[in-house]
Amino acid sequence: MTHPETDPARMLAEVEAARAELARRAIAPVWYHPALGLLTGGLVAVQGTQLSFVGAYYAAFSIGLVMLVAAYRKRTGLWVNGYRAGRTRVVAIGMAVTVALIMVGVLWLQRTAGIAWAPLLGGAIAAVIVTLGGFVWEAAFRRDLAEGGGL
Amino acid sequence: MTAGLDPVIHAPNRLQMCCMLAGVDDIDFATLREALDVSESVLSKHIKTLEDAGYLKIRKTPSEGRVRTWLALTPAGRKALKGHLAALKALMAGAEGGVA
Repeated sequence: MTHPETDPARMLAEVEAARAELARRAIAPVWYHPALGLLTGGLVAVQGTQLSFVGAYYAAFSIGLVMLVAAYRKRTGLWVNGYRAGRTRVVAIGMAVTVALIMVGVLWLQRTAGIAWAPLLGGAIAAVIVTLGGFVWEAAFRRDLAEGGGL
Repeated sequence: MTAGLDPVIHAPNRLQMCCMLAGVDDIDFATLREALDVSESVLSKHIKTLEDAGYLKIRKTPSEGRVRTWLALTPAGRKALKGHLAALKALMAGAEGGVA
């Protein structure tokens, strides 16, 4: 007879149970991703406005981020870095690069092509991408956990 | 103890703790206690064992008039867990090979 603590199958089942429990708990409040999307969309939308307004928005954006992290921590009792190893890193970097490209694109459209409303459209697109990307990130996190990746 | 298995991590509760901690940046004491379904004293003992081995670090932050305790795996803890899991999988593969 195998002692439970020396039975590798039993111990690996404990590992899977721990990961499943973590996946069950690491779910952001339903408003979290839309709120992050709106904050990020605002970052794009204010491009091209007065420098003082952009500066004020950056300050508000930073405070908003701190409040979002605090709310997530309070709700879930944990914190996961978006850029953690695994599929999650690919999703997070993909979102960051996409938002950066949108920002560059709207500035070009506004300054070179004279399309004044480009930042507003870009902001809306960025907000949708970050909101949906947040849910994709969570799905990637759960898949990473289920497969034991991202250690 | 079988070669490759880390005696600090091997206890079922500590193995589960380390696996949960490995998936996150940090997790608070109350959440971990609830997830593992153990008493505060049992969890504190496991934390002390992991902390003494250099596998876990503790951070305390004020939160709404009380102190919240946050736990995180250290790089040494992460490395030890990787080795431990690899050893468990090797044992499992050996056991399956033996059966077949």
